[in-house]
Amino acid sequence: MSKKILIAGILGIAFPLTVLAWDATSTSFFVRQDVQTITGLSTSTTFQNRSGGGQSGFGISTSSAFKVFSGHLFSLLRDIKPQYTQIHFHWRNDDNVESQATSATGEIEDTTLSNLSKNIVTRLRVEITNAGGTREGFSTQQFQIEYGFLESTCAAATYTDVGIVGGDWDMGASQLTEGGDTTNIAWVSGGVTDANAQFLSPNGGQRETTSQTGALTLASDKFVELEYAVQALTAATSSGTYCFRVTNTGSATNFVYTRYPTVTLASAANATPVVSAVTVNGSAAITLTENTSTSISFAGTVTDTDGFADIAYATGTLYRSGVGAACAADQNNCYRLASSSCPLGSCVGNSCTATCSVPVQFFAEPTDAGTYAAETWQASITGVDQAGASGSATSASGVELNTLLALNVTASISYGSISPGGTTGAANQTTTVTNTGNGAIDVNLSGTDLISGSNTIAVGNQKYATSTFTYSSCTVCTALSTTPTQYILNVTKPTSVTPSTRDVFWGLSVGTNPSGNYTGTNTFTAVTH
Amino acid sequence: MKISSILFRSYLLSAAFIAVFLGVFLHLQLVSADSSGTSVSVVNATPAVSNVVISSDPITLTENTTTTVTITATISDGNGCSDVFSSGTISAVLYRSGVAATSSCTADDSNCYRSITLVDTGGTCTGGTDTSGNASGTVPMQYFAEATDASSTFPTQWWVAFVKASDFASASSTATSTAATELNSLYALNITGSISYGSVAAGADTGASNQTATVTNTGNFKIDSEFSGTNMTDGSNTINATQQKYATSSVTYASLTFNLSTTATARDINIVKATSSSTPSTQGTFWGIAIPNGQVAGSYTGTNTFTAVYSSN
Repeated sequence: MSKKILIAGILGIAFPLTVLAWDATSTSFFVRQDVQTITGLSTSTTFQNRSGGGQSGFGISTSSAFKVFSGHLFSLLRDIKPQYTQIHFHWRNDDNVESQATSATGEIEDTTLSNLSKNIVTRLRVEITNAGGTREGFSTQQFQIEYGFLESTCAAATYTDVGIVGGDWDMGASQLTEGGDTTNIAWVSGGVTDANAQFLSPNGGQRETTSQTGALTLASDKFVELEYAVQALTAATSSGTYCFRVTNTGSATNFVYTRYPTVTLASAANATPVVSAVTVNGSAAITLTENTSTSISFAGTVTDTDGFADIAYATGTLYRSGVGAACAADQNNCYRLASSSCPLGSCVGNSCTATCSVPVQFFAEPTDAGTYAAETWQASITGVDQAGASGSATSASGVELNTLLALNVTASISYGSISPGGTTGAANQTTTVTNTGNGAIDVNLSGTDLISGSNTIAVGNQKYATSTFTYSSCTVCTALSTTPTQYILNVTKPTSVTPSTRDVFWGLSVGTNPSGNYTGTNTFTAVTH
Repeated sequence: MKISSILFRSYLLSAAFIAVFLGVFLHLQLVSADSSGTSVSVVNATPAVSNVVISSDPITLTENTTTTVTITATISDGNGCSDVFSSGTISAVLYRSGVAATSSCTADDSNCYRSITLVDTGGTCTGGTDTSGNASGTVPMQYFAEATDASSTFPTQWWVAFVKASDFASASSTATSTAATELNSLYALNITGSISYGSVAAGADTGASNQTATVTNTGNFKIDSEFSGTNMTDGSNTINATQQKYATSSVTYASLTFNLSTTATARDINIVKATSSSTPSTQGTFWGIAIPNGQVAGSYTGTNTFTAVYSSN
């Protein structure tokens, strides 16, 4: 055990010292004994280290006759600044008042506290001693307790005032008396080893509400023991290790940290993610786009009381209600999404929003009418945490997927060259009608006259049928009209990207028309079959 | 043809209100339309020409002037008769069959009349779906156009009308008259000048002072002429026609070749047919008279007649 003594005046005599501090105004200051460290200020004109085995000397001497008689004083340096050294700590249980609470670390100071549960108030006693001087930069200090998540070392941690509400740590109500003085209790009772000559008191070192003391003057022969009631909050990292330090209201100037109090939190039981508020397409009906896919989104809130960082990913399924959330993937009625399609966003606290997007094909089954009129499209979202635990929820109410009656006509109708008075005979033109929607369709057919300048071939000269025909003898043909007329084609609803098509065959007769290129337009409008 | 512009693609929102118990729901159904462009190329039909007729048939000319000859044809076109009558052209060539195998003869008023335009003079092409109409055109044939009748130089030939119809696209076809239209021979002449012997004393003749009568061939064939005359009279006094003599050259009375007779007598004067309307074919005849002794003085008049006749040489 080392002991610290102030030597003043002309006498500095044999003590089994390992640390020595002085503040001497003696004109004949000397040190006789072995010391490991001597620190102080001397204006002695005859400073002597007569028999010391000192390793280092810190201080100042204006001696004109400096001597080392038999020791090993390596150096005597000028250092008159204070040096607030965080030198000892002791974790204590909040089981009694300041003087009677028990040790939380088996009555051993400077020991890491392990397996601390969150939201449990515990007490941290920290000893600060001034191992420096009082000449330069010496002032009162408001000792503030701070925490930081252990990085590679505690010195490398980023510290936060425990007094700031929220975060990982807060002050906590305890059996301490806010602003009350600490006493110099024995370390076996949760105290710490004295590291200087005198215990500073009064000190207002008991803190449970505020994280800093009042202004204290800690002279170079003084040490003080401060005790803070702290608690890890829910947001703190389970199984994580935190470091603590004392600063002067956030400033570490003139502080030396010989030891950092550390604590390791208990590993919390994994919380299962909970999914809620699942909505589909913003609760609006789904409107598809013909012959291509339409991006449809659905979203939900994923909550994990272990914190949002514990939410690993989310997946989802968009489905027609009749097939259920456990449906097999089918572009007609069941879209199962990988986690890449359900990114997490807007993460705050314990929750994130999972927003899933899926390209819904144009042939997805409608629910606004027809076979599935009694159903809706719904979504299910599953949230998975880092431990693989998952939770799911489905949308409380689905949305309709609207019927899309749509078609493409891929071919033009080019009758070629016909002599006046002639017909296409058996040489039919073909238009392929492709169903690009999600319902079986017929078509409404209409057209315009074929025109070349002021000359006209009447629209009615065009005939059509679902099979090939010879114009002059056709009995199954229909003459085209300018009025849309329903034609039963029954182009079935596609069930995949493979087109569902029907062909319409066309013929034309030309009357006494002047030669020329005649053009017109035939219009196909999808209607419900 | 897929037309993706807004003009050809539209989405129609049809709304059907479906009342279900106390609630009313709006049922929206998206409907799309698509269009196919239609096209056809109506082929140009070649006009057809038929029923080419020359009238009159046979062609009878008028001496010393032109005679209007009409050519008619029926024109049809599958693209509509207007494709020819309104937008195209109809032309004809009238020619003697021997001058060319086709209509490629060189314009000549004797045997080849070109650039004859035919039109629809009777409104027979009504347009629209009417595919045919009647076209006609006229040509003024000169009096010297070559005859093809049996007595002519070209008894085995006839006159042909060649008609060509072209439509708007310049497609054309042709046809010729099928009837062997003859052009009749025309023997005709004109006499210019007068025979005024002046004052001749009884017992005297006109000597070398001939009167001249120019004979012009106003027909389409080489001609001779028959000559005859009446006695010249003054009241009851008469100078016989035979006192007049004539020849085709100017000589003294005694040398004039022929004595006039009251009976038409053909003389071989060989006036070829004209070949141009600007260059008449003529022959001068020279006349003299002898007054018998004792012929009562007076002013005697009579008529000499020239009649064109076929000239065989």
